[in-house]
Amino acid sequence: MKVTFPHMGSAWIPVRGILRDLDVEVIVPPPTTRRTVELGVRHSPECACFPLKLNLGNFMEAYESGADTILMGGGTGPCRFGYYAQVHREILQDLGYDFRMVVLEPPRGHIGELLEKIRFITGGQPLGRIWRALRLGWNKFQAIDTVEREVFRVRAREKIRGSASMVFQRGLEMIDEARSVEETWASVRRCLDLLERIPQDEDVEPLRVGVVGEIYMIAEPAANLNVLERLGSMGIEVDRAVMIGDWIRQHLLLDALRLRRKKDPVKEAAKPYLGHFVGGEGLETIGNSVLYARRGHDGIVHIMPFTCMPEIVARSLLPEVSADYDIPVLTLVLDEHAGEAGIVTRLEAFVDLLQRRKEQRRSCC
Amino acid sequence: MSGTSRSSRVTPKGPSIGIPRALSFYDYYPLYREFFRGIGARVVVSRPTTQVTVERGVSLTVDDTCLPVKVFFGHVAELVESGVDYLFVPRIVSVEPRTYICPKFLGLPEMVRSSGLLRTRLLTFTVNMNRGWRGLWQALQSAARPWGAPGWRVARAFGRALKAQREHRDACEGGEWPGCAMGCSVPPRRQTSSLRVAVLGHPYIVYDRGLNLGLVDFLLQQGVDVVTPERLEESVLDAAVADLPKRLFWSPAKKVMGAFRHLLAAGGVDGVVHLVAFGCGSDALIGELVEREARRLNSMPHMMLTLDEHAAQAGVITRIEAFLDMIERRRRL
Repeated sequence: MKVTFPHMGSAWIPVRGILRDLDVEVIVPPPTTRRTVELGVRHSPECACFPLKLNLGNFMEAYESGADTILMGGGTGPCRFGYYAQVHREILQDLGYDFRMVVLEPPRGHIGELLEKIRFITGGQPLGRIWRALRLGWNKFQAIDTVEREVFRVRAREKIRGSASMVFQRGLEMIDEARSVEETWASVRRCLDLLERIPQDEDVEPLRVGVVGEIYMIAEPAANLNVLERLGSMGIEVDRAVMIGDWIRQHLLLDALRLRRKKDPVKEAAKPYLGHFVGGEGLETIGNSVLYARRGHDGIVHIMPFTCMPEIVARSLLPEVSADYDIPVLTLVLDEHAGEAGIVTRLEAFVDLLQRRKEQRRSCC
Repeated sequence: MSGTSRSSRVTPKGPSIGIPRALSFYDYYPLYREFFRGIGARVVVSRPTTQVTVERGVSLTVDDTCLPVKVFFGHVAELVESGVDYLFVPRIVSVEPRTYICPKFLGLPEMVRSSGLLRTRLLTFTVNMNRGWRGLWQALQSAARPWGAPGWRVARAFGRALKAQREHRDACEGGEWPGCAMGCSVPPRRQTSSLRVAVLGHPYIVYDRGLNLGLVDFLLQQGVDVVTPERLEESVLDAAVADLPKRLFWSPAKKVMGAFRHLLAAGGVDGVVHLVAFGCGSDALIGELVEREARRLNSMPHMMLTLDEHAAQAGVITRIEAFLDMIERRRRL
């Protein structure tokens, strides 16, 4: 059994780590490229959201590398992600790809079903070992998030463009190589140390932009045409609302155990604009935008895939947030037709706008 | 009797309530009508969809919203202008356990509020029948508040509303054209045809002749026997999706998929037309699954038609004519 799974930013590092620790043969799909996009788009429904198409492309390329089992996430709606795997299965079947699919669904009622699937993938490993592997994976997720947050800060101030990204790449490799929780955090410390040593411009107070939207589109640079890094190299300090670690905790752990906090600050912040969950990250998009505005960020970049249902609701409501808090919002609706030059132009114009607003405010005060 | 003339036969007392002729209207108008009348409200329904409705809706929504939601906004604009006291925009979370309608239904009241056209009061409630009928009762109770009707009257109105909705469903299953209760009567037949064609899609597409560009009317005029999911028994639809690898968590998609699989297995129709709206999230996936299943079995002609605000009647009718010709010929072979 050779297991593969779809890409989502750097999530492949912890996921591969978990599977490797359990002696599962893993085939990580080749990095998402133009070819992946083309393969996925050719065989996906036209109006499906972009992540579905990219996932399909990943599966097809992983199959070429010899994978025969897909490990995929599921869901209970109303976001379409919950039904992705079913559509993928039908498409791959018609294409003649001989895949086995294991869909990890949030347990509804009893947890036995989920354990059964984990047991199938791992070939009946003892639970203690599975637990240790998951614990290490979870720590790696946290580790990556910790480093990435610091990278966002440094990138906006670095004197030589690209230094922070280079350290980040090295950091990811170190985290990937770590074999224990201690080693993982040791490599994080080393990485933070390296980041600190990057020559930085201490005088500039960079513009701060909050990035909100659909988790996959934010997490996968190949899907968002590297918007986060681009903003950083324009000297913008990026704040990302949903890191993968937080997302896993919220959506997979707490929701599954029905432990959602009663007073979620994000939900509270969204309340005047959206009083009900709408699936996906729709509510979080609104709530986090409000929180960023309150914290004095200069602007908000909202990233969503074309036809995403929850984010369309969020997008319809963002103008209200923007007007109430006097904060500019740039919505980027992305799919396979998005072009690099177009995105860059829009980002530049947005940054110019933020810059001018800041100068105006400074001159009048 | 059409919905328009019914709504003009008003109870004169009490503030008026405007119901947009879009989205859930095409499912639950009998229920809405009887309930609000029962508590003494004056029910005003917007006029049937026209090109103007579509254009106004388009101007009020973000561009990648689906056509039905755009049309909904067109109706809202009309009602706000006509000066109703309350605008009725329900938030329908679910109509059966562990199932949703769609995220846009979940955010509808807020989307209306933020569109900036609201000069009238928004009457909204949240229907969540995840845990059964109590969800609907609580929702309607909260909606009755502005009229200050006594509890017994609300309860009586609720009973009547449920009865009206049940009668509507029974009538549809018994053969009545489901659009009749929504003010979309069957157009006179111009020709006779022995064809029986299934038209699958959300009720707010299939029964809204403005939105579907008269496509279903055209079929009816040709004398084609049109089968829609609403004309099939619910238990049949549920049974047809029972063996899916994963249960569908959107009720409307479940109905379409159920009808398709039932007809595919049971036969009795000459072809299937699947009407979808551009930008509809669930249809994008369901349409794909339906299409693949149809192609694999290759036993029934199937056509998927995508509608958006740029679609023109002539183009749509030509395609449906070609489809009918194709099934006629296939039959003769």
